Amino acid sequence: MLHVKNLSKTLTLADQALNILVDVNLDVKAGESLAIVGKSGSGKSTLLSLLAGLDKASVGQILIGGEDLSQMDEDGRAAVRKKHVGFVFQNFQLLPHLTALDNVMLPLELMGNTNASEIAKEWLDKVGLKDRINHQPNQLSGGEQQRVAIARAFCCEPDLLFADEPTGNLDEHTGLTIENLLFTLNKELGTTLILVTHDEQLAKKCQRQVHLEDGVLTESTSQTEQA
Amino acid sequence: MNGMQLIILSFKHWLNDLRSNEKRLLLLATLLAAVSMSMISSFGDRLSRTMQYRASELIAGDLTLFSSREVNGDYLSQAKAMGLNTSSALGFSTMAYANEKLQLVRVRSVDEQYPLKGYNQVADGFMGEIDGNGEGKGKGYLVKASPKPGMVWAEERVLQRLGVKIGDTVEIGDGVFTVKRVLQQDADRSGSLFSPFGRLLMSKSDVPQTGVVNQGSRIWYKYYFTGSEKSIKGFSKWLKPKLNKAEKLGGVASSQNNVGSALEKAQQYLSLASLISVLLAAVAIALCAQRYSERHFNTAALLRCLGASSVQVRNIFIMKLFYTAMVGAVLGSIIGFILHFWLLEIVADVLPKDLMPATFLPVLMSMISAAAVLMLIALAPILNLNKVSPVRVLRRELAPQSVKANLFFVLAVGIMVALAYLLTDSIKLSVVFVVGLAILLLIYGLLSAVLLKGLSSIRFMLPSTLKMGLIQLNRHQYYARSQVAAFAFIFTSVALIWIVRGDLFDNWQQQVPDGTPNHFAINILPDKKYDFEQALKDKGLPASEFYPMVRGRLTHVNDVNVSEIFKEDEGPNALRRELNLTWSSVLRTDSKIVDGEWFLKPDEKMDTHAVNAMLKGSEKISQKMVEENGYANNGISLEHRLADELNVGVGDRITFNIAGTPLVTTIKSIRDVKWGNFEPNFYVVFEDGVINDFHHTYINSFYLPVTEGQWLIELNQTFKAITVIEIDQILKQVRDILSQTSMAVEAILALVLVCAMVLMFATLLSTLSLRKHEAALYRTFGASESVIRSRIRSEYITLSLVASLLALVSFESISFALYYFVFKVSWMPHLSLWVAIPILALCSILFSGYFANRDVLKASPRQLLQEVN
Repeated sequence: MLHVKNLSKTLTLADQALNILVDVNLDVKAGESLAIVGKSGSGKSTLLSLLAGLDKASVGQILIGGEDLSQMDEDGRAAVRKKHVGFVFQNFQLLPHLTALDNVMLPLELMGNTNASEIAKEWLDKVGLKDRINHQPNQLSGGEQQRVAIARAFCCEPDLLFADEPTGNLDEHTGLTIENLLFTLNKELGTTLILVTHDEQLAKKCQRQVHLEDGVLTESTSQTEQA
Repeated sequence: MNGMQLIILSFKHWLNDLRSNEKRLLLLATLLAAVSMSMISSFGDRLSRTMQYRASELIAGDLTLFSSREVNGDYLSQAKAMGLNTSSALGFSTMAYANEKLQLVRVRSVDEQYPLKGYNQVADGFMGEIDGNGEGKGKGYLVKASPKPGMVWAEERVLQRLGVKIGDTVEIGDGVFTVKRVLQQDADRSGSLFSPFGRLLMSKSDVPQTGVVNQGSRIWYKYYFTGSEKSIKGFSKWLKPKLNKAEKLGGVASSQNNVGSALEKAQQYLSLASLISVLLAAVAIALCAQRYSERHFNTAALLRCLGASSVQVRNIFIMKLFYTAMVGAVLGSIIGFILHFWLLEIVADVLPKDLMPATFLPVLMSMISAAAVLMLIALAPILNLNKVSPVRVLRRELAPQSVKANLFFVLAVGIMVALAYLLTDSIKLSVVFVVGLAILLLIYGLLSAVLLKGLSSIRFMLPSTLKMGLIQLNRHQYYARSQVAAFAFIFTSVALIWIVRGDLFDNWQQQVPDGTPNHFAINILPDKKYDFEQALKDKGLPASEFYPMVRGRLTHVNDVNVSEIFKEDEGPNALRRELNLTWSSVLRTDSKIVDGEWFLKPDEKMDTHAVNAMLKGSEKISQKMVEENGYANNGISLEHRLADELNVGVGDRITFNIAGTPLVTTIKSIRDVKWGNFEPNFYVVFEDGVINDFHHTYINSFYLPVTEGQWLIELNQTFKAITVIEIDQILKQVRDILSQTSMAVEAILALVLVCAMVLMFATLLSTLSLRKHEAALYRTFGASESVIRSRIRSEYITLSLVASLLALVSFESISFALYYFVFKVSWMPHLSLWVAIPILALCSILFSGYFANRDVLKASPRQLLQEVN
């Protein structure tokens, strides 16, 4: 599903080249779940932004469903995201002036789906927010907001789901609920999940874990190995 | 996503966005721009059209054409083709005969349509005559009619001298006519009131019967036109290039009276006021749009992240802006239109009952203008959203590179110039005004940065409030600079509007102050002058000076006969009739010498009587010799427009023929004369002593309260040879018009102030989220409400003072430039404003600030943090 070859990202700051990611190679199969683990500043978010096509690599190749992101401009990558990718963010990234329903409908509408409202309602029902569809983000708790974000991410049935510290802003109990929801839906839909976290426990719930340190990726373990 | 889905999606987002302060502010600013434009332009449009209409009553039409020959028939057919109503008059001077008495009269023969505008003021008897019911027969009333064939209406003095009464007949040439009414005021008041011959109005169809108008007769034609403003403008534009030198076009604005000039100034003021209110709104829109754009970086990033293309993101935001423009502009224009009725209600007492109907054009123009102002000003920051990187969803600190705003800036300036042109009708004024203001705003931006930096460097010397305020402002330098610039702009505009208004009012007040003469007395013979003067003094009436009047014809310019200089029927009208000449040793206070010098005082020159006697008595002493010896040389002062028409200046010689005696004079000065001041005015003033020995009568003007009608009758009976002309009606009309105009100006000033105040509020709100963020943190760290309140207060006090300082410096610079370069008068700093503006700034900013920050002060830290996040 995702193929990464010799990926590097270098930034130039005050005439000094700063290597954020160095020669990253990675393959993720369809339906697989992968956790990218690393300390703060290790380059996790940069890697996620490159894998999801949010940013452009300095060197290397990224293929999603066979489409080469490195050959595309921003609009081309946006089209790939629309077709294949879903997101769940640490800070939920809901639009504050839209209701829960409108937030979930947004990606469907961008795809031109004429049945957006029905689908969004179904997904809000699935994440347990049937009665809160007309609430705005500031009227929802953190856990509820993340559930809206999960509904928004899954409603387009993406091939690839990127989750950036999805429980980072939540308390332990709510975090667990959200984790369960995320993995359950992922399993149900057979979505490929790529999750960035520094939480070892959460990472262990994924089939594979890779470790990122100073921009260098090392494959640490996989569920099969653990088994 | 197809076009329709995009329209629906953006509309839905736009509706949801209305919950945000930024969007509401943007909408509010647009709405206000439209409200003020629509209200002021609808109000101003109706008022100015009504004032035009009323003023046009004084010249009996919207447009007049004067000619000494019958005009080309095409003119009239074109006027008719353009839907104008026309009326014409034929004028000539002739003798009227009755009871074996002859009297020279100035006849205006008119068609049935006359007067197209206004009224003739007539009476059914003479002043002092009493009818059967004990009522005064001389009481005037207004009629919208002209004499029927066979009838004439004549001034009382004509009838008195001929010894005829209403119902009697008079002979004019070969025709015999019945006197039907006494003519008190002709509907066309543009002619001289002080003609020694009385006026007579008759039907044009009777002219052939008189046989007095033949080839070569000295006659004049006047044509009157009325119609829609557009048709009048169109016809005037069509006609102007076709006119020859003998044909003169006249209208309300060009009529030589104070109504025309007051109206023109009032219109300019109304236009300026509405332009300033739009500019105030435009500045607020720019501030709000910038903030709105920044607040939507995250939305744009999320949309990109979810797969929207840059074109889709751009289109969504442009559509949202378009909805704001449409709703703000349409709603605002309609509200403005409704409010203009309220504005009219306020000044209803002074408004004429027959107010011109409202038209949709000002509303439509306001809609388009407000929408265009928003779209062009807000588009540059909104297009920034298109450049937001989707990575911002992960790294908030990423801001897009600014779109090059130059093109939009140029476009915005362009639309403002177009708007200014619509409002002022002058491309030069519009360009100067708008480009000047754009430069001024840029300078404000730079100066506010310098001022804030300068004050910060000496903040240890400042009181603690200002110190704290400066720290606060310097934390958000960009916003601080914008706000200082915006407030400085607001206060400069208000100060300018205030000062211009004061100048306007002073100007009008001077034109018809209380006690302005409402009667003219003419034909006062020198031996009756003292008695008449005494009669006025005994009654305690304020009167003007007694001006001597000598009738004379201007015959030569620099010894060349005027008939050789100007072709027949060309040249100034003053050449075709006898002029009223006067003499004076003192320059009137309301006249101004524009070239040369006023006559020397008696002790500074030779005895002019002696010189005159020498000139008259001795042929050996030539004019040249007198000049060479520095003696007085029959000096005159000439009115500047006549001087321009004759193409003469100081030092040139003018010859007059007075009662058959040629008199060579030298122009000593050119004078600017205030024609609209209701006092006797003269084209030519002689040096005292030059024409004193010629036959002369005196003229003066005096003020008589309306309640003293009986005394006037007695005066008429005592001084039968003296003619008293009442101009109460004219004065009343002028006063009414000026008073309406003044009220309108006051109302519009108040409106601009309200606009400025509301926009100020909007400007303060634009930094509300920043303030909330800060307050949330302070409150979380334990700061009390009073600490936050005092921080905000000190920031606003500093903001007020810095903005007022900048406003005052720029206002004084602008007023200096205006006074020194435009009005060419001495400049004085406006000290009262140095007190008023800072106080106004402090009060208004603190007042607006209190309302803008209520949420910040009252909400709990948790609420604030939640809102900020």
